Amino acid sequence: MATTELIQRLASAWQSRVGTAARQALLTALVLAIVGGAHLARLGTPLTRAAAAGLVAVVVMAMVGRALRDRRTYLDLRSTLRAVLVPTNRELGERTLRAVNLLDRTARDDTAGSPELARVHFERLIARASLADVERTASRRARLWHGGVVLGLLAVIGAFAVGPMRVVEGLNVLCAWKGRAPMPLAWLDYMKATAEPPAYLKLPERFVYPGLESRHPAGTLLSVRGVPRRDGRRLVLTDGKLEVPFVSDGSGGVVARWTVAETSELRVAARFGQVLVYELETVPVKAVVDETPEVTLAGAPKTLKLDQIESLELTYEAGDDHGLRQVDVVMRAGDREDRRVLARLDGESTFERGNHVLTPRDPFLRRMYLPVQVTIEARDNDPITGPKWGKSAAITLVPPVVGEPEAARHASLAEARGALVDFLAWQAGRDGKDTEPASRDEVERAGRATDLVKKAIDKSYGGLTVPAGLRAFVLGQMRVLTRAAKPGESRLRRTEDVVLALDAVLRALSTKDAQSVAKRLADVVDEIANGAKQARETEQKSVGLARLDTALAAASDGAERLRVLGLLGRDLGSVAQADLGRVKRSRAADDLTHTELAARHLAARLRRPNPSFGSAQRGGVESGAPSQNGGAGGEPSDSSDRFDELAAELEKLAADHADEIGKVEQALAEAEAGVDLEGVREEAKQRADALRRALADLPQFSHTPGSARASAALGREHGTAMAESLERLSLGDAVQSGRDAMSALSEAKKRAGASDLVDPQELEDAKRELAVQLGWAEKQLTELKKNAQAKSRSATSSSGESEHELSRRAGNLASRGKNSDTALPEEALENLEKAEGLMREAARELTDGKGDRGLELQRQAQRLLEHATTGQTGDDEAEPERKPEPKPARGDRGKAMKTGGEVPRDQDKKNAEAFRRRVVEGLGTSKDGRLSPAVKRYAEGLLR
Amino acid sequence: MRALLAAWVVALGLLVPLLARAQAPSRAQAIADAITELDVERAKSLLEKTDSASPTIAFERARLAIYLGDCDTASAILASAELGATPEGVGLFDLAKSCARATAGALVHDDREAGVWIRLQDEADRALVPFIVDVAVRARQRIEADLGTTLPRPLRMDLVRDLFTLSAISGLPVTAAETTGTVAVARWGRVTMISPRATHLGYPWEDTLAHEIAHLALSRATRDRAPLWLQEGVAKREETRWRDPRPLDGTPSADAVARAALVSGRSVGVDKLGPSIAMLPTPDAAATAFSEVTSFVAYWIRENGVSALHLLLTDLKGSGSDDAGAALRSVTGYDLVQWIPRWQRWLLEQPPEPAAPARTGPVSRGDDPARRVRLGDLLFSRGHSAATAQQLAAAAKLLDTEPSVRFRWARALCDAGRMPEAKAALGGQAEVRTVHGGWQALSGRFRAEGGDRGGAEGAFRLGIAVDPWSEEVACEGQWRPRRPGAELPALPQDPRRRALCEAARVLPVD
Repeated sequence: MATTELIQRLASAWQSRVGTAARQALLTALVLAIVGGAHLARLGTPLTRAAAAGLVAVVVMAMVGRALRDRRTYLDLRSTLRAVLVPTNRELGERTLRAVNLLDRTARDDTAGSPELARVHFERLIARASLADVERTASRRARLWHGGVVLGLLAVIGAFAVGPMRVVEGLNVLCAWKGRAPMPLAWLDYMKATAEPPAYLKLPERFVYPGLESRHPAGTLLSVRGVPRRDGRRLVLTDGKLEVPFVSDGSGGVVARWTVAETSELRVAARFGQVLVYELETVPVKAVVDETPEVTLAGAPKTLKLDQIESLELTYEAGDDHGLRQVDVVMRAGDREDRRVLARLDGESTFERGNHVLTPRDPFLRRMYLPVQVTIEARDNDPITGPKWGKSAAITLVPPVVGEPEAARHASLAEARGALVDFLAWQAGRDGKDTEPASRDEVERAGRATDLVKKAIDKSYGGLTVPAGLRAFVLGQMRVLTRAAKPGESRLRRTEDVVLALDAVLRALSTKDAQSVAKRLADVVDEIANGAKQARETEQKSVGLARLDTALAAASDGAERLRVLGLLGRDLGSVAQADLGRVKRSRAADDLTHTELAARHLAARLRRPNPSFGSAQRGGVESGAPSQNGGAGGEPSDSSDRFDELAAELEKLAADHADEIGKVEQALAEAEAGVDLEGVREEAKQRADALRRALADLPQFSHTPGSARASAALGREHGTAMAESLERLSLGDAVQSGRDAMSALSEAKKRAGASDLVDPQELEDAKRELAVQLGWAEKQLTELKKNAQAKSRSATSSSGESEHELSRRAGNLASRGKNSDTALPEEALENLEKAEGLMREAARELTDGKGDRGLELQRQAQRLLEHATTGQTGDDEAEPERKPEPKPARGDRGKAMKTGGEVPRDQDKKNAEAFRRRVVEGLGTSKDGRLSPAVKRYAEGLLR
Repeated sequence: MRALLAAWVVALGLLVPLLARAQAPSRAQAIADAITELDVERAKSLLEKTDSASPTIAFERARLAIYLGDCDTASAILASAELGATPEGVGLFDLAKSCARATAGALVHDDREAGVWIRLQDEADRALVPFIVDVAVRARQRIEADLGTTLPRPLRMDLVRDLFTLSAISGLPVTAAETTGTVAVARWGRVTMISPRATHLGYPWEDTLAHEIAHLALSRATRDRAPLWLQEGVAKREETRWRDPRPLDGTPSADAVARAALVSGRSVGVDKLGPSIAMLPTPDAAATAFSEVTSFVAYWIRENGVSALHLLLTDLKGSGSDDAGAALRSVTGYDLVQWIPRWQRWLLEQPPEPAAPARTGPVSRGDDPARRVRLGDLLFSRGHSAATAQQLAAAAKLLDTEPSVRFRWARALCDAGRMPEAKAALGGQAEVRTVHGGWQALSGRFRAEGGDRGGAEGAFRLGIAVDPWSEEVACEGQWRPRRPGAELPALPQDPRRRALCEAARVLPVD
């Protein structure tokens, strides 16, 4: 056998045993590393995943390394001998290796010996090697490897035994990329999902089918339920960004609740550390966001000049996809904002329509000098993302220059005074004709002057009118001017009195106006200072400068207007112009510090709108001559003071008379309460029930004011109120409610058309039953009053005496109202005289024990007294009061609404406004809280 | 030896700051005195030489700024927390702030040649400045001679538009100023005076200016140690001495008013004036007090001579204390308590002034002059001159010495073209009891038309001295016609009065 062949056989014998066993062992190690690594990787942390991957990699590298080493070993003689022979027979192996070395040396170096001898030596040694020994040794070595394989396999089996899916999950986690495992796995059995819309939408719960896209309002609570396939997994519901854990539902399943905020694809997943393994099935959800309310304002956008409108009617509609909570009117000017609640709603109504009226006298508008943006804004009821405000387009109101209305009013009144002065001059020019009967020409001239004055006091100046008291005073004076002269009376003197009277009130008014305008101008000047400060101290220089310049222009215009308002106005206006000159100089020099300082000084000065020289007329201290004011001082006319005294007495009379009415009412009420009605209680209850039954089919409400349905609903309300009053044996209220109900039902019948949703038969039936019950109630009431009148006789007699005294006071005032100095307007005088007559009559009736009749007359007299009340010359113009915050639906005023009365005349703005407020307030606090805002708006519509 | 030298150096190092600290109060006092004496240049120089950062020095620096009219700087200095902790600092800071607001952006007229510096709150007063400068120069010259002192140049003055601003600049409470009708204040080294346009009929601003300059001169002459009676008495004396006598000067006489007050028990008391006459409770009390101090000082000077006054002022300045009694005693041998009864005795010895003729009995309501005057004004404003004259003729019957009524009457007649009647209605100087701007102007016009140019000039000047912003005064007895379409009268020839007339015509008519 050749040497080489022998060596190959030896190596082959070794390799076939040891090499195979080693490969098997390494393969086993690889499987073990993968399975063990899977368990490790399942923890999901980067460290564990890296460790698992590293473990597998190490084993693979070991296998590769071994294969390379084997290949290299068996290509080299020495390595082969070292790997095969040395382990088998160490001495022979080492000797053989030395022989190989000798062989190499002799081949390179001739002096080392004979190469042939060395080869022979090597071949002899190799020949001594036993194949059987090598095989035996190799087998022994292979057994060791096989032991390792067995152990490895046992470990693998053990790892699988713990949970085969854990290995799968672990491998899945191991292979995850960016936190997401590559292979979806089923996690839940019997998966089902339900959607519960937000409570405020009041929608029912619904099923959601996994895999199919579904739409849900934002805020919907999505519940995903199922039974976990495997325990111990941390299941979550996720959209890829957020996740909600599944929790036990208490019946063996799990549940996760997801609040829908945006469109997403929800998936069930199991979380392993930082890795998610998704479920196969998804739940695609489309979120439907609650939309911002849409508000429209009729006519907007548009721009109006405030001094050219009497009032601004804001007709608006607000709608929302789910519900409205509040509607506001908002006014913005510069950085100022005024927000007023028009309606507070219950959040169920998705549509709101209404009207609101702004007048140029509105306190906010009066203070403004910058364009005011008026919008209607509506808030929805979205509690999920928070309430959202929808905003209408704006109506821009360009306010007049500060003081413009006052200046226009002053100019107009001064011109009217001028007309009277011209008339006076004409009269003075006719020597000797003063006490002769007035010529036609004179009467006409007086009439023309009077007309001019009346026109001036009736006019509105950008919403500013002449105060009621002043107006009454002037009208009284005009009555004096145009009445026929008494015998011997000097008409010239009379005209002088009238001119001076008008002059005195005009001067008083201009002083008051000047003070008021100065204070408002102070706000504008403050704005200059604030603008300068903003420009100087903040980074918003351009904004500050714009503020400054706008306010400066407005203040300059305002100072011009202030200057025409009488003596005080002229004084304050020129002070303002002087200081605005300082402001402008500083501004021109870009000296914002001094701009601000000068403006602050002026604002403080205007807030103290006294004459420049205080109360003193001329210099008294530190001057050469103390007082040089002539002896022509003093007030040339005190007519307005006397008129004010009369007006105050008139107001007191009206108040005293109202108190007297209260006493009579109380006496009658107490007498009525003393009458025993127990005998009819049962019958009244039965009648009330009958009435309710008859009204039951009538509509409860209507969306269309003025329709037959609305009238029928109103009739039902009044009828129901009557039934309640009957039950309480409140016969007076029952009769009143019954009459109101009858009137409303008659109206409904009249309006009922083919298209209206009111059944004429039902209407007729209700009306018939109502008439029956009303008749009974009236009869009972008459009986009750008869009894009560007898009981209250002594109390009403005493009131009769008081009423008589009051009538004397009224007569006295009426006669004073005819005098020149305290002349009342024609209408007021007539009312006062009529009231006096009624009061006298009422006194007689009361004294005779006819309480009801007396009370009725007293009420009529009171209305006339109130109409005769003029107010005083110094009273302010009736300010449109800020509308109070809408009251909670259920008002608690506790008083029954009075009925009857007269609607104040249109010209009587103060009373008209008060009447409007009373009506709105009365209707707005109706018993049905839900409807009260609508009733209020309805009332506002009626009153316009 | 070295050790000794080192000890000296250390001792000096410790001593120098101590010496500097000891010197600070005296330096501060010197600065304060210089400021009080209006010697602002000296005060500046002293302040430049001191590098002390003490609150006292800072306070004086702020005070000097206020004296110079620079309220911004004063405000900035006084804003420091250290000064803000003292009551004086707080008070001065408030004043500096309000003054800075009141003077921001104001127009300054600096007449270096005349040595007068005027700051105008209202630019519209610019036309009055030449007249003010003229009066200031003349009054200053006379007062300096009378009091034996020299006022530093420039004389500083703030012409303000109202009492509110006067208060803001001077620190005088605005309510007090309003109550007493204060028109000017000499404080903080400046005269602060209200523009004559602030009052409806003006006021004698020329004499007022002289009065206030006298206060400044007294402050300088006595280092502000003159008691109030001396301050006001001398100032009243100097009011009219700078100019030629004018009609109605000294009417009513201060002696007569003081005597009447003494007799009736309404006397305020020379030594009971309080902190300022401007802070007395009523205008009447203030007028009485002025008369009393005027009478008293005039009596004192009469008794002791002008040289005694100079001596008194010098003594007050040098005395180093505010006790004027000691100075009075050293100059005259008597103190104030002894002088007052002497003066009162003298007053009572004077014959009482004849009482003004009593008004005729109660007038009927229709003839009430106030009513007639107002009707006249209303009629005149509409151009009804004849009817106006009719009304005012009736008023003038009852108030025949009242120049404002005579002026209105004459103006209406003049407007109606009834010149001879107008001249008669206006009457002569002897027929009126007070100075009225419009009356003087119309009188000047009539005199000029009659060829009496000198008399006319005097009347025009007197009108301007009282009510320069009245159109009739500024335009030499001419006015804008109230009738529409009528021609505007010509402007005055004199350039200063022409400017004044043009400015006055900008104002709205009644």
